[in-house]
Amino acid sequence: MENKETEHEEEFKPKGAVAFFILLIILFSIIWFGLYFEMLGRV
Amino acid sequence: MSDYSFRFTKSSKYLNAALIIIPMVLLFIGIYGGLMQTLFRAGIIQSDPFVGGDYYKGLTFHGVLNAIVFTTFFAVALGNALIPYSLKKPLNTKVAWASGILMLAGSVLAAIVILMGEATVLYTFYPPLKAHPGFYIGLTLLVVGSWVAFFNWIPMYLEWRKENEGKKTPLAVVGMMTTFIIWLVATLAVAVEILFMLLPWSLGLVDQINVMLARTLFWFFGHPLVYFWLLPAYVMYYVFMPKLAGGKLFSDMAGRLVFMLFIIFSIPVGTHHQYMDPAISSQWKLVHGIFTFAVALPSLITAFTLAASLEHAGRKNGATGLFDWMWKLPYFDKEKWFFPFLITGLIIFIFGGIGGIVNASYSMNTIVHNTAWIPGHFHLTVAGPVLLAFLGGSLYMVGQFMGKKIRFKGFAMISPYIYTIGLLIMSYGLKVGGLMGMPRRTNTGASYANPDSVLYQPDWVAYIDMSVIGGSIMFIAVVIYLVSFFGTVFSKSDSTEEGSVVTFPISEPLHDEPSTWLRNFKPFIIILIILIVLSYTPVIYDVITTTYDTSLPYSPNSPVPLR
Repeated sequence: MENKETEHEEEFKPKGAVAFFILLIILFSIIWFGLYFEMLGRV
Repeated sequence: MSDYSFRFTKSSKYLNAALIIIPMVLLFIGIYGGLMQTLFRAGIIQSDPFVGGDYYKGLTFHGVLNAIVFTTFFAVALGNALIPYSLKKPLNTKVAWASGILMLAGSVLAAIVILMGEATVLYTFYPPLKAHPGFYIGLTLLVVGSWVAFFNWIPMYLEWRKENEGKKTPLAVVGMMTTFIIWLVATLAVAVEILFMLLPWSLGLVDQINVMLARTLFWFFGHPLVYFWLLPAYVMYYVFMPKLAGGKLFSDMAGRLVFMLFIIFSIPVGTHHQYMDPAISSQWKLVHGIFTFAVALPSLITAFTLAASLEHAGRKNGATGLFDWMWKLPYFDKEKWFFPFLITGLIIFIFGGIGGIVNASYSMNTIVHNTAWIPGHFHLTVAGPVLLAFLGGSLYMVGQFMGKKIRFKGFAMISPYIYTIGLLIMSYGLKVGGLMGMPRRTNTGASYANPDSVLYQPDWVAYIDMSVIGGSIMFIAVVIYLVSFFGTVFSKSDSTEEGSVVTFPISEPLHDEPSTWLRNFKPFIIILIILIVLSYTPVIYDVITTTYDTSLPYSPNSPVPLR
């Protein structure tokens, strides 16, 4: 049981967290640029 | 370490319970004030039905009690708990009690003066708004009390380092010390503002005040205050959450790096609150703007590290795909009622974080400045991740220090979800209304939301109504939480022991890097001092030389110059 857990930990690569982080940056960019173009629209 | 228990003395146990219960009562008064704010702004009430007074009095006690008093008490209580616990050293209870009494006396004094209507200066208490001296004295006592608590921990920390040479300081201690290093540096500026400017002015000892200098000193404190709120929540995210989720902290070094980056970048950022102020040259505002972007970096590192830690927990619970680890976390496990307080806060912080970047983006600030967007944003930070983590932490600690089992766990578990729904509705209303031009710090119920007013803005009404609906849901969620909190406080104790055996859910690291370069605060404090000197010297020079002697004198009571 313990060996299995150690194996899981050694093999663990946070692929999901990397994907989540990329999506987070995309969401941030969409919101930021949304506000940026709102600002340009008011010039 | 993970299953380690520590016995606190009877005196520490009572102190820590008091530091949590008393501010919880004040928090509730403040949250009631918040609900009234939404009703004022919608024109549903024109005067507070219980406390009396107008919108601005309510705004002041809502802000001061919730954002300054409750948060400071909680941070001190968490430090008083986690530092002795992690270092396995007893707390000097005499000093800790002195600190608690100072904080309590100051808070009660400030609260009384505010509720009497003698300090309607909002929580950003800079001039030209002037308060009764009792307000400034009360806040000073609160801050000095928190310094005393911090000074009480320093010898414990130094002694531990001497006894454990070569060992890494526990992450919880690094986080709490970071919180109070930032707090100490930040509050020095507001202490100067209060003691040398506001208090003499309020006492009638001086009749003039440099408003721009006072504002600059306030924001030297006011933005790092955000990190003083946020960092105890970060401590709980890094130290408790991976374990609560059933996993491990992905990287111990990431946590240490994040705290050190906060030391460096938390302070030289205040002028981004003054983008629209005169007297400060634009290049120095830009420098503060750049540092504000830099301070987003530790939060981005945190987003990744916590996601990786939660993914680790999810995979241990059987997840296999790219995202299904998100669904293998204990969202609705009553026995892990603490987890929802932390995870909901993180979800909210996604929106709070990007809002902060918008505010800090120099020219973009023009479309949100002094609009309802700003309270929409900071409710997504201080009233989101911070409040929820503090509520969860308060309930956990009150159970531990009073030796009681948590009662109504289902209520505790569900309350952060209800609160999150309410907060997202309210903040959406405030933010979109703000983008349409709806002002902050304005009783819209008497003007823009009043059909009888020439200022009436029918397009804003739906967004104001959203803030009423959202605010009401948030209030109900807090009441549900308080059923569990006070149900626990007033329940029979399960412990017959004199002292209090306390356990915290301390996470083990998955990657326990040596992090030798992150073991000492000194280099980071030196960098902080250099950055403060570089970023604030020209700003202070500007506000002293360009406004004070040349501007016309004004009274706070009239917009017309006195001569």
